[in-house]
Amino acid sequence: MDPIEYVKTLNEYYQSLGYPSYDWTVNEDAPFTPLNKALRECRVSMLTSGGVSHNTRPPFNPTAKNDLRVDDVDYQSDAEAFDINDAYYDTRDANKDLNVLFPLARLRELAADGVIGSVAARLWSGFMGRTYNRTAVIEETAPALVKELQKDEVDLLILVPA
Amino acid sequence: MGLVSRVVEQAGIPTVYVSTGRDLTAQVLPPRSIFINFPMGNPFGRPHDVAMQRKILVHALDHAVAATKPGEMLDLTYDWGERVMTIMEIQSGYSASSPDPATGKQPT
Repeated sequence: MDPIEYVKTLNEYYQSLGYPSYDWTVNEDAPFTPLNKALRECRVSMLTSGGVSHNTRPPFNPTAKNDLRVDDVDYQSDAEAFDINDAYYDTRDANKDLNVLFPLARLRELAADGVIGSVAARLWSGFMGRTYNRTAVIEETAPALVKELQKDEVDLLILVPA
Repeated sequence: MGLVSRVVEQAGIPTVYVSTGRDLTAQVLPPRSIFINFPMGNPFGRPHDVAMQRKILVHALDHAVAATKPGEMLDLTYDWGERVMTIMEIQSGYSASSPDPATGKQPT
């Protein structure tokens, strides 16, 4: 099947609820930093926006708007030790196996097999829900995450939106 | 999240974005992305399908190496095997016509 037209679908959905139309960000070009290392030498981290919290932390608000919370996740965490709270996608499969959304076990296996150099000490979960305050993300939360990635000497970040 | 990707890349750390929303990703334009036509909660496939989860993760890593053009999106060709639905359809008790009895697939 053809890809779902999410922009059209969401515009119609928000309109049916009487919400103001969503002001989508549209970019014509993108920044680019070449990956100048072989994968087998790269330290890789990963970020999910799927409302995924370790069970030692409070749950995310499933209907969050402008939630600027970003959790660090120990890369050695058991995939079964998480809660998922997000009303914006179907979480049933991720609840059965977090790796369908946030494949931390697979990432560790790729490091063990030498496909990547290592998994960074900290993975990340945040930026969930609908974000209207993009200035806060661009000027505060995302730069704060960059500092932490630099501390961990991350060579490559995998982002998994949900 | 596309915005986060752009900020991280701008700061000098390469990123790769694993998308299930092709049009959403094309308009925010993260520096590198792969698109997989699976439901939004299943970018790496089905629960406990270790082989598929690994395969898609490796596609993402390989694209991080191979992409040379800012905003480059790689379309993967895996088939979900049934109709991909939005959360709105699922919540409203969406009912499509009956699945094909031979294949079990919803008409697309």
